[in-house]
Parts: sequence; C-alpha cells; structure tokens
Amino acid sequence: MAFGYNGKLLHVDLTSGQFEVEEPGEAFYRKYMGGSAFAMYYLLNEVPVGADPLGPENVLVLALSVLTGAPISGQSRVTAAAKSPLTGAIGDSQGGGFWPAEFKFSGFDAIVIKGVAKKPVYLWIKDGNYELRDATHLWGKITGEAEAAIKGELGDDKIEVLQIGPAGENGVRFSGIFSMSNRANGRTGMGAVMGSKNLKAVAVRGVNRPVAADKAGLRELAKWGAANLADSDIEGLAKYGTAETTGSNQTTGTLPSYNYNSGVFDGWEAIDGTTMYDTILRGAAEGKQDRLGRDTCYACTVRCKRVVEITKGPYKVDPHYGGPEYETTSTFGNYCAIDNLQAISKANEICNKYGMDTISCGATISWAFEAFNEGKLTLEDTDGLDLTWGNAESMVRLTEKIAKREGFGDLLAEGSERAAKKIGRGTEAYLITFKGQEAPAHMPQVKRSLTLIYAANPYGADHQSHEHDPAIEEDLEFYTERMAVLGFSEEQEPRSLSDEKIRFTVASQRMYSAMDSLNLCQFVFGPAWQLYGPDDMVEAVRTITGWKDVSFDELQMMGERRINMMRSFNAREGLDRKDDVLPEKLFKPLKGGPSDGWKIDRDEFETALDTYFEMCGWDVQTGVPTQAKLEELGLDWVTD
Amino acid sequence: MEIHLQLYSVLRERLPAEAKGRAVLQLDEGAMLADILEIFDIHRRVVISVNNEHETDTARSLSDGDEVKIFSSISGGLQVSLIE
Repeated sequence: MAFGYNGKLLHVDLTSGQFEVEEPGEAFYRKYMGGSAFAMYYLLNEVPVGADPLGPENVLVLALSVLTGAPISGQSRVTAAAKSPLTGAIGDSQGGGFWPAEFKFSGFDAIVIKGVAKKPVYLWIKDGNYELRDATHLWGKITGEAEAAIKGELGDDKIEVLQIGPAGENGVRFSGIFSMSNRANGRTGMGAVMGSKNLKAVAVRGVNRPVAADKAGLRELAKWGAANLADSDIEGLAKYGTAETTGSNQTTGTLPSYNYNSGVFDGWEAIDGTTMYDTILRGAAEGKQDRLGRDTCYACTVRCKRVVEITKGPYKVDPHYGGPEYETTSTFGNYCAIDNLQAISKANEICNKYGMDTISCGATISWAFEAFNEGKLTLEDTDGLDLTWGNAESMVRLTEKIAKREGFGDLLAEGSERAAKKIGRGTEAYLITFKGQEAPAHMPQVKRSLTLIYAANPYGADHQSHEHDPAIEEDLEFYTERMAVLGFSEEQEPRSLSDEKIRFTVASQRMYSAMDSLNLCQFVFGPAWQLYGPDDMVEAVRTITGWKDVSFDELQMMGERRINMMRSFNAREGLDRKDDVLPEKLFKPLKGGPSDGWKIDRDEFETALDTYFEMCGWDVQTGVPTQAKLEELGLDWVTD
Repeated sequence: MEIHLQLYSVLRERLPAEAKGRAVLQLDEGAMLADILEIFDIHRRVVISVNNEHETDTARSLSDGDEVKIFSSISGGLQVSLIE
C-alpha cells in the first residue's frame, strides 16, 4: 500500500479531449518524490526541442508530492512547470493554498496537460472522476468572478479552483496561475502557457485523504511545530508578513530601490510590514487583524498570508484578493520609489484579479520608470503617463494596462527585456533581468551567493532557490546544529565568494530543490531560520511515506537530480554558460546608504561560476551536466 | 540622558500594545546599546540603527537624544530540532 500519495497521474490531451491515467509505481515516486522533479521528468520526455512555449507542443505539468495533503504545516503546495514564454528556458513556479491538498484528496498526484482545446474549457476532477467542461462563459472573467461561477455551477462551495485570469488569456508573458484568487504560481509565465491551451481552470474536490504510514510520529512532528512557532523566527513573518523585513533591509542597505540603483529608500517605513499590520490589514481599525487580517494554507499553523481591506479613498482593495508580500511592496514600492502602501496594495489586487506575477510586473514597471526618468521614454511612449519616480497613480494605471494589454501596457506585457529590445535607445542598461526574468527584491551586490543563483538558476532569477548568505555569515552561530547537517561550521566573511561559500550555495540549492520537489513551504522547512530543519524534513518524509531508510543525503540527491534535469532541458534548447550572465547594472556601484559603492567584480564572478560548475559536476566551459553526472544521478535516459 | 527607541515587528511586543513599539528611555550617561537589549531581554539577532545609521557594535555608547531603531531579523530563533 502507498502511504501519502495516490499512485495515479492524469494525462490530458486538450486537442483530442482524451484522458489517460498512469500508475508509475513506487520506484518512480521514490526517485523523484513529486512536484518539480516529477514535472521535469515529463517535460524532458514530452516537450519536443524547440517547441513554441505558447504553442500546442508545450506541456504544462501541475504536480504535488508524496507529502501533499498530510496534516502538518507547510505541505500544501503545487508545482506548475512548462517551457517558459518569458525566458525560453525551463519554467517552474510553486504556489500554496488549499487547492494542492484538495487535489490530492481528489485522487491524483499530478496532471500532465498537452495540446490546445478548440474553445475555452476547464477541467473538473472529483473523487477520481474527470471531465472537460465548457469555459466560454468564463473567458475574460477576473479570478474572483470565475472562481465563484465555477463553484456555483458545480454546486459546491468547497471546490478549490486553480485558474488563470485575463492576463493569462492575453498571453502576458509573466502571467501566473492562481488559487483562492490570491495564491500564485507566479513566476516564469505559467499562466500564459495555460491560456495558450485554452484552459481556464482546474477545479477539484475529493474526500480521499492520504494515509500516513506513521500517524503518531507525524502527529508528534506537527505538534512540535505548533508548540514552537511562537519562539521561532517565522513568528514575525507570520504576524507582520514578509514585509516585516523592509526595515532591516533598509538599515543594512539591501532594500533594492530606484530600479536596483540603490539599496536604500527614504520612504521605507510607510510600506513596512509593521505599518501594514497597523493600518490596512482587515480588522486593524478594531485591533482584530490577527484574527481577520491573516490567512493560511491547508493544515498550516503559521498563517502568514496577508488579508488587506481598504474601503475608502482612491485605492479601495477587496480582501478576497489578499495582500502584498515583501516582494510586492518592493517591486511596486521601493523599486519605483513609491511610498504609498494603499497604491501598492491596489497594484497587488490588480495582479491577483487579472493573474500576474507581482515581481516581474512591478520590476518591468520600475524599468519603465528609470527609462522615463533618464529621458529615454517620453509621455508619447507611455500614453501620457508620468513615470517620475514615486508616481503611485501612474504605477497603478500601468499595472492595469499591462493586464489588459492596452497601449504601452501591451509592450510591457512582453516583459522588460523584450520591451527594452523593442524600444532600444540604450534602455537595455536599465534591465535587471536574468535569462529574461526580472530580479526579486534580494540584492546580489550584498548577498553575493545570489550572483551565482540568479545567473545560473535554470529558470532565471529566483530568491527561493537556495539559502541566502547570512546563514553562513554572521548568523551561523544561531544555526550550528542545522547547518552541521548540511556540512557547514565555518563562518564566512560578508560579501565574500569563497570556495566554502560556493559549496554552501551548491548544498543549500540542492536542499531547496528537494523542497520544491517535495512541495514544501520554504518558510516552514529549511536549513536555518525556518520552523523545521533538515532532520525534520527527513522525518516528515519517513513518517508520511513509510520509507524508513530515507536519509538527508537521499533527499539532497533528489534535489540535485531535479536541477540537473532542468539544466539538461535548457542545454537541449541551446542554453548554456553564455546565458548564465548578470545584467550590466550589477557591475556598477550602488548609490547611497550602507551599501554605497558596492558592486559585483566581473572577474570574481566568473571565477566563482567556474567553481560552482565544477562543484555541480558540470562542464566548466559550458555549464552543461556531464554524462558522468547524469549517470551518477540515474538520469542517463535524459541524453538517450 | 533621553533615548528615543522604536521597536519593530515582534520586538515591539515587549512594550504595551498602545505604545506601538515606541518608548523614551531615561538612561545613565555612558549607557550602551547592549544595555537596551538587556532591558528588553533581546537575545536574538537583531538589526539596529542609531540615528538612521546601521550599527553592529552593541558596545557603542549612546548620547542624549539618540534615536535607536531595532528590527527583528530572519535569524536567531530556534536552533534545536525535534529530531536528535
């Protein structure tokens, strides 16, 4: 008997309308474990080389792991993966909420979606049964309306809906896939892929809860997490949101501002998480925001999600669409020098209504702001919008125009890199893109291991693909036991790219990669400050699956397997070391604050990249996995 | 001397809720940042600014009228694990 998972994957060909149920067997589950690694297996096997990301040959995989749906915090997450229309490389994104658990209860562990439906459809899965239903009447609806309509016509309010918004239908290259109208598989343009297939939504409902192999052991692990939450570092993130880090980042000069030209922004306090908690979380006026202004994912005790409600003024916000995370307050805030938290929340609401990634959307707008402020864009280019730094009204208007592909918004809907290429006039110098994907709000100029991850990560800049530098710098003393599990005990100098720092980058990237395959939340599980540590992650896998001999090393190897499959996918598409580059802006000194003058040294970066590739077992000249490495990981089939 | 203190995020819960993290402290001449951390029983890693300048030296002596901000950092909490 399988514990923790259903043992069934659903394949659907939207062109023919045919379904197939695959039962891969335990060995497959043990080797890949779920999520992103599952997805890579199918994408490598089913996407032809050179496929158009928005064409019928691309394949979209939605995958859970062997842990999804178990009664413990941090497990209800889903991977969405396909070839990315934003980067042309492998696309991958993770999202949370209740849909992942409910999908598990419906009887499947993953869906592999290929082809294009003749007209808009949605997929309805209930208790092992499945059907495609007409979605013509849902096409063009914003997320909240489509979600309500699907629940209404299927007659069950407990149905969970994963869907695209109008931005995904419109092929916005950074559109995402959303559940609850506020949880996003945001990055790499997976919404545009789903939209290109004429697939509006996947609605799920089920009662088949997975059984854990060791219920008592799992219960003990879950209880420990709940009991220790208040003393953990993530209690602050839970109560005040990820934007609680705004002030500390400002103080240390690592708050990316003015489109990444500076690490400080004078207006930071107005957009900080503590301010958000006091002012716009639902219930704040009555002091009830802890109960009304926070939301959670299935079985998660942390409750970190923001619920913002604004009922007055120019930027009213419906709490159904959640509230901004740190990445969002940064890209729409400090990136654009905007200190208006209500306007930022409005932009967040628009992104969730229309289905767009707030990181790429905000960062694309900040690219336009810089180009405008440098005189490279004029009012004629921007449909009359004044993009002077700090103009909140223009930022909100532009967000909406992007979602609807209106005027100047139509150009920005292509992402900043394509927009810069089309505009020219030297605006490429303002880009902060990696493989075409805009940078999140964590600065490589300060946390140097991010230079390697942003450059070499197979799906472009990502801040959740490894543990950041502080864990092996001044914070190491707090995490001696957990970091020892990964094999680290020597504190490294701030802003160094020592061999030991690179070894840490490789090791923690493997752990995060394993978490993206186990579909674990990276606030709840991780190598340092998270609620649960590496040993707890192993214990979660053991208690849920019954694989009693599973070890941390095995999970690390599974994580490494996923990264190698991704790099192999990219290599097949012609991407290699020449694409693992940093935007020119990072080689120029930052202005102002404690990070004034800091920049990346080109030679140091290239040397570090050599070392990183060597440690990964990849060809140093090309960055492509060697045949020996693929065989070591049981991936020799990749090059067959 | 008088020190203007602002605590953020979970740290401000060391003060009454209505204070919203703000306090004016009367400290002896020669008091250091470390003394403030001791008063508020802060033993986790924090990020501190004095007069809006980042300060990493907790032995720094304070001056009358200084504005001190203390932020929690995503670090310095649990380091134990259930699984030994």
